[in-house]
Amino acid sequence: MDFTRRGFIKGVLGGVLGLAVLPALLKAPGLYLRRASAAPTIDLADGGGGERHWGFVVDASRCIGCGLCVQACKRENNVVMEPEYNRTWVERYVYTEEGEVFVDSPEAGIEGFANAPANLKYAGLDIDKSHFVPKLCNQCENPPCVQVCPVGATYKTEDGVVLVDQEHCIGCRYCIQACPYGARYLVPSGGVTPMGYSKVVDKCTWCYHRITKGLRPACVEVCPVGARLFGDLHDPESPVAVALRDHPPAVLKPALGTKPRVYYLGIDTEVR
Amino acid sequence: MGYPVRALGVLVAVIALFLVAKWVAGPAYLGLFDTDRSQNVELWASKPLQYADVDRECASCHGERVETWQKAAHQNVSCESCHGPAESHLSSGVSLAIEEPAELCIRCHAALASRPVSQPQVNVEEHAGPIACTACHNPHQPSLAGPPTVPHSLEGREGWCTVCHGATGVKPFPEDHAGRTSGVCLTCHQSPGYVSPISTPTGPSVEPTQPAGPPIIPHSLEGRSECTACHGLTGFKPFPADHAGRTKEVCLACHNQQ
Ligand code: HEC
Ligand code: HEC
Ligand code: HEC
Ligand code: HEC
Ligand code: HEC
Ligand code: HEC
Ligand code: HEC
Ligand code: HEC
Repeated sequence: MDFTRRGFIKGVLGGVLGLAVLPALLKAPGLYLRRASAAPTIDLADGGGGERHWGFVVDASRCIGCGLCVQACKRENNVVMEPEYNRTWVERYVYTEEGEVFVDSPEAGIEGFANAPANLKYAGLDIDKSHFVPKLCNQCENPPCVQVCPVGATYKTEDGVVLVDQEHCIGCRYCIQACPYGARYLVPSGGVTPMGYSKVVDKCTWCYHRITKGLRPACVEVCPVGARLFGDLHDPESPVAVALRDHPPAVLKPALGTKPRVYYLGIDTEVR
Repeated sequence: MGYPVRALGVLVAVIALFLVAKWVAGPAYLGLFDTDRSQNVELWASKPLQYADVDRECASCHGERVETWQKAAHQNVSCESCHGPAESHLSSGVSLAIEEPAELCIRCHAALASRPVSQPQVNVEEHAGPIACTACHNPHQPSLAGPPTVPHSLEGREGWCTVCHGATGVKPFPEDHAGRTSGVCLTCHQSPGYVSPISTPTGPSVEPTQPAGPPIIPHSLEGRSECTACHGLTGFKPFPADHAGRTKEVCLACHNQQ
């Protein structure tokens, strides 16, 4: 054998490229399949590895935009009160007669929408319909945020909740970039998470300290109209199972293959 | 020796550096290939509560209020939705007083285009003006609407109300109606065409008939919350003598607005 520098570099580069491309090729048919079927079917039993299989239902057709959920979340989880930092928030969707869609979330909805300033973007346009959409971490079955963490500080529990090990989070924000739903934020220096850290990443835990004690997440408890429901999908009598029994749910951005476990009722495809 | 070995050496060094970095910066409880996170999971699960989520536990000390709340329109609105997190109230008696009740009501009841129509909504300016919501509404039993009017004709139904509205009927009446008979329904539930047999004198001299049930309020209520100022026994439009002792808080329970 006769090694040359050029030969070696070629070999290594080729090998590395090959290794990098191979999985993509293997996955490709799946990608195309997913695109072909416009609405991927949602398998509720998916991910039922653990004893429980938590699920969250948001019925947007019921939401009255009172914002008490946002407030309760912040109080329960010691989230900074400023509107830029949220584990959950409420968006307002406005559809005009011309088919345009406007989305806003004044103050993230903490104060509700009753006194929210008018959005000038659609002032004067004919409004066709409008509704509220509560948002939170989707606790994906395939969480992209977990895959990108360079120090392994974020992970999925057996019962399907994505948590952050804030002792080891280095605050690099890769996971914030990776999350397609904008569900993560970096705790500012003034704030402190329930774990006692600042300048680390924080996110919705479905109130892990509550659900493991048999209580509902704080946002679910204070919702006056049942727009937020929580429970064990394995239990046919749980509020989530009952709500999903007769209504096919939607999930946000299904084409990404993240398999969210927050199921939406009463939304159309403009909501993402 | 030569390039390959040197290059492999570099590769190994890089991997070693990465592993050391992971070992130093990464979660200490994790071995190299270990994925047991139970320690951190436990830590999250152990965090303290703020919201107690025990609406029924409030009953042991606030029994009466819980009882009215349970039967009224806010029954699905948790105590803590309005009063805020109650864990500290339960454990150490921290006050749950509401500083600005009106702001709270408006959050849920101001008329907004984005709200589902099923939510009762009011135009705050027109409906209340500067008057506090709680001056007229009891937050734990907010409804002020009188008995609903009968939406159907009475033909062939008079005296048979309970057949359809009894507890097992097609349109059962509320639980608090138990024991009421068909003869009394129309004293509270108004019907446009109804002529009360009691107030219709038998005999040739027919007096104008008086529709049964409380008369509808013919005027706006704006600025008139002090009903008894005008309708008290000494007012200029006195209410009937059987009203003696009634205060403004109760008038609207029987008298509907136009
Ligand atoms: C719709 C919102 C709302 C809900 C739900 C609610 N409250 Fe209240 N509550 C109020 C308001 C507003 C006041 C203050 C009344 C005032 O200032 O006149 C109040 C006052 C009180 C008071 C103080 C005594 C008083 O009358 O001033 C107690 C005690 C109380 N509430 C207990 C409860 C309990 C227990 C529950 C759950 C069963 C509950 N509340 C549910 C809004 C609410
Ligand atoms: C162990 C008995 C007890 C329980 C249980 C209890 N309370 Fe109270 N609560 C009190 C007492 C005593 C007061 C009167 C405090 C005062 O007058 O200063 C009070 C006062 C209040 C008030 C009036 C405002 C204030 O704080 O002064 C509200 C509102 C209230 N409670 C709500 C609740 C709710 C909601 C619950 C259920 C989560 C609850 N309470 C459970 C004992 C209790
Ligand atoms: C957290 C949201 C919320 C708050 C705060 C709230 N309400 Fe309500 N209210 C509701 C809901 C939900 C209903 C029930 C709607 C239904 O039955 O479909 C309701 C029902 C009512 C009704 C009965 C309407 C009817 O058709 O009979 C009145 C009146 C009312 N509220 C007044 C008030 C007042 C006054 C306050 C402030 C003390 C208040 N509400 C605070 C959510 C709220
Ligand atoms: C002057 C007395 C008064 C004040 C003040 C008042 N209300 Fe009312 N409200 C009424 C009466 C009377 C009704 C019942 C009218 C009806 O059902 O036709 C009513 C009905 C309602 C309803 C039910 C409407 C529906 O469509 O079923 C809501 C919600 C309500 N009020 C909310 C409020 C709020 C919020 C405030 C404070 C901003 C407030 N009210 C202040 C007297 C008042
Ligand atoms: C043959 C069956 C039947 C009889 C008899 C009958 N009702 Fe009804 N009633 C109904 C039905 C069905 C409804 C519901 C109609 C609707 O929702 O449009 C109704 C509605 C009502 C309501 C309105 C309830 C609401 O939620 O607003 C009142 C009040 C009422 N009836 C009173 C009476 C009275 C008083 C009598 C006796 C004089 C009577 N009804 C006899 C079938 C009956
Ligand atoms: C003392 C007055 C009074 C009498 C008498 C009375 N009602 Fe009512 N009724 C009410 C009031 C107030 C309400 C609405 C508030 C409530 O839910 O209790 C109501 C509600 C109803 C409703 C509507 C229930 C719903 O779910 O919307 C029906 C139906 C009804 N009554 C039927 C009857 C019938 C039938 C009788 C005779 C057997 C009768 N009522 C006698 C006061 C009365
Ligand atoms: C400023 C004085 C004033 C106040 C305050 C007032 N009213 Fe009146 N009300 C009148 C007058 C005057 C009439 C007679 C109007 C007419 O006959 O056209 C009347 C008529 C009525 C009637 C009809 C009586 C009938 O014979 O048909 C009712 C019911 C009524 N009022 C209820 C109320 C209630 C309830 C309140 C409190 C919320 C109230 N009023 C506050 C002056 C007042
Ligand atoms: C329990 C139901 C009820 C309550 C509460 C009630 N009323 Fe009446 N009201 C009636 C009825 C029924 C009539 C008509 C028949 C009668 O009693 O003479 C009436 C008649 C009236 C009349 C007409 C008198 C006339 O001669 O034309 C006025 C004015 C009136 N009420 C005002 C009030 C005021 C003001 C209040 C509050 C202080 C009030 N009512 C509370 C049931 C009620």
